[in-house]
Amino acid sequence: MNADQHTPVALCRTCGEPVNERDRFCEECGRPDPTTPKTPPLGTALPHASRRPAPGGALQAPDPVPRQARSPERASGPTPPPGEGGAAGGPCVDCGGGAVGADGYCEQCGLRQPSGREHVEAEAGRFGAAVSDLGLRRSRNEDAFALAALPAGVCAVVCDGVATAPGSEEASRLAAEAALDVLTARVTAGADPRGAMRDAAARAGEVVAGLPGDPDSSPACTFVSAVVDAAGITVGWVGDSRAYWLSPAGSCRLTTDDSWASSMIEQGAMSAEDAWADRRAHVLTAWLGADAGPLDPHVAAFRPTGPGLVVLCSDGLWNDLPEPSDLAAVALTGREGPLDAARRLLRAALDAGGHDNVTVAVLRYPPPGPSRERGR
Amino acid sequence: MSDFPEFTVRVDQNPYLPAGGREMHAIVSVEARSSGGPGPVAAAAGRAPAAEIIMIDTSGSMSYRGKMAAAKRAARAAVNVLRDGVHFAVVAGANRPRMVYPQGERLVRADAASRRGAVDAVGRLEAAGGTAIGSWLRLADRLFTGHDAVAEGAVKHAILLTDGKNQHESDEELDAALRLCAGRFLCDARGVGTDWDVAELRKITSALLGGFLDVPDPADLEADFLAMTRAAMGKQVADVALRVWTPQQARLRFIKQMVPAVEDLTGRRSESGAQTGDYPLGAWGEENREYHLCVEVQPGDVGRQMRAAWVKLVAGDQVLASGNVIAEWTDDEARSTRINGRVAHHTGQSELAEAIQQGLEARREGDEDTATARLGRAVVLAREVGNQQISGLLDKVVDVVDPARGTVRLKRDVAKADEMSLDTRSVRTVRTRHGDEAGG
Repeated sequence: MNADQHTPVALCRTCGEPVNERDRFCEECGRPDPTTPKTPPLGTALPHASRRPAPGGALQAPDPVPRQARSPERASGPTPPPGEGGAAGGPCVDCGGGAVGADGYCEQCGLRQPSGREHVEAEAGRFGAAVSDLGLRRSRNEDAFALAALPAGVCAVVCDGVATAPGSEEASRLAAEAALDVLTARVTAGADPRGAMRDAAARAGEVVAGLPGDPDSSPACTFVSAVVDAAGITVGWVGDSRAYWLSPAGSCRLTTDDSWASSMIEQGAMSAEDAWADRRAHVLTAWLGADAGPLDPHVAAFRPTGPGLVVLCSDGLWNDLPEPSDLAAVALTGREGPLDAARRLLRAALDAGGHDNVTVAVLRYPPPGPSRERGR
Repeated sequence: MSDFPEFTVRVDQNPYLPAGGREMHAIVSVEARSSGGPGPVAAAAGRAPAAEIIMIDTSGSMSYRGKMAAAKRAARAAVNVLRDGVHFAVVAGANRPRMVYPQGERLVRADAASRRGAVDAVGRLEAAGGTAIGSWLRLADRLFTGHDAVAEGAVKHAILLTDGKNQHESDEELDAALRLCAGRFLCDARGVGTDWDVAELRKITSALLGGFLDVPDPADLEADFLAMTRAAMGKQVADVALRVWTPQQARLRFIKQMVPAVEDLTGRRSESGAQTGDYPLGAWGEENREYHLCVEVQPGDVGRQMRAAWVKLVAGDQVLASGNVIAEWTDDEARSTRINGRVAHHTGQSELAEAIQQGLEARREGDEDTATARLGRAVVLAREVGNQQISGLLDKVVDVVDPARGTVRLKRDVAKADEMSLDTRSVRTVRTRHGDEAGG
């Protein structure tokens, strides 16, 4: 909670006044992270992605111009409806009278305006959906997701900003976006999803490491991603955001956390019960960020024998519902659409206390065939 | 203005309030460092023009206990550390003030010749007459005013030495002089011996943004004068203010300087814009100061966040550094009940100063019960905040029966100097390690 003053090194992106390297707010206009490139408040999720799977449901020849394959999806990225989200310069949604400064605080009543990330939903056709929510105890949502349809399936990324590091709200959003770009381009071009996943994690890591930050607490986030197509499921992860496989025939976790508790259990140093009861349990052993060291993402591929759902989630969900069977009971009971399943999982986390931000992506396996993909 | 020191602002607080919570406390630490890096050359380059007036009490009582001789040594020492180019004067104070050096009512530029002239003139001082401090301050103000045309933005600093009460003018005359001089120059003071009035000197230096100390032994004056003059010579920017923005519907309950000494700034506000007020902080060299700010805000919903205050350090229109005080409402009791260690520490220091001053006042008025209770409380607080100097001074005024519970007995025979020392130093605080969160 300090704003340091050092030698000016750049100009504020909002008002053009000189700002210092470690300034967290512009002195002149109050913009947070004044030297960070300004990005739209949303854009992580890609709802209603326009691309359809190729006829036949199988992987087709690579798109001859991958760039074109990405552009319509990018163009369809959501932007907050006008008047929502207390955009800088607009009137305050609380007192109605004050202008909102670039750092999101009303210049009259002082209240921080909603960012537009309090609750975000998106769908990629019938292939998958994702929901991200502030939860009940946090003042900002540092989780982010990105979701897109592929020619023959769907891919999604969930990132969870590390709350103790300033700037992690941006980190998670930019990481999810960057990773999705790589995944959609590479998989659409016919690359092996496992390789695409490594490239995607590496790119996300670069983006986060490049964010301006305090040397003692660089912006950081976790990362989990999945590509689901007819050939199977590929997941990649760094940190403690998780992927689960949920099906009526049996459910399981697909990832192992990069966390203190996991490593204690893995080494046999502690019982699971003791490890999870320790206050260091959630300390990350790997993450994306400038202080993360060399990145070595985990990648795994699966080919389920029957239909089911892949769930990617931040710890805001699995903290309260850690067991695959608990998640399955919620996700698989009720209406079938992935968005409904994601909303039910969010509801369950909120009912359990909503202590943290909650983000859930639900992807269907196998991807629904084109014959059933009418009318969207 | 590129040679200002480099300022940083740091805010320590627990931003979490319970649902419906209104009162937000924060410690604002301000640090100024020479931008040119360490070393005397860089420091000299960054110095603002300065003017210094040394005021020596020459009332009749100064002739006892070697006070006059010590005051002369101290004044000479101060003159000798004035750097070249500083404009200065030496004034003798009695019923009426008198120019010691130079002879006319003006300041003179310091160089080898003028320093020698001033030293010689100081040697000829003799003690006679009474004490009328308001008239001394008025003369200092006239001298500085005459100098203003020469060096705009100069650090204007005065040193005042007295050994007695302000008996030869009315309280109203002194108060009027303080109103005239406040904001015009800074004044540090020293009380030598035991016949001066602690509250009076506190009032003078508080109005003139300075500090004061007791010097029971005249032999210590010289070192004190050297330290004060060197500190004044090290100032690099004359007039700094703390500009505080608060939300509409909010009320700044208080803002106190806590380090190096407790000083309530709340009443010094001057409005400086929509929802902002400025609090003068005087001149700055390389130094650290800390401020305790308390703002009362309108509660927001659980989960909402508010900027409860936005503090900026300003010199004229230039913002030197800034920091945010944030409030966030939560229903997580573990968060909202946590007390920031530095807030707790400074709250304790404030209360300690109050307990000592009230205890000594009660003791003077013969109210032994109140005196015992307040000084007992001070014993507990001094231990809590780790202020060993105050603990030691309290030991000279009370017998401590139970230091943890604050059970004390008033001592029968207390040296006047010890009581004055405790009173004087009650406002001087100790620093805590940065990031210390060990409050509770």
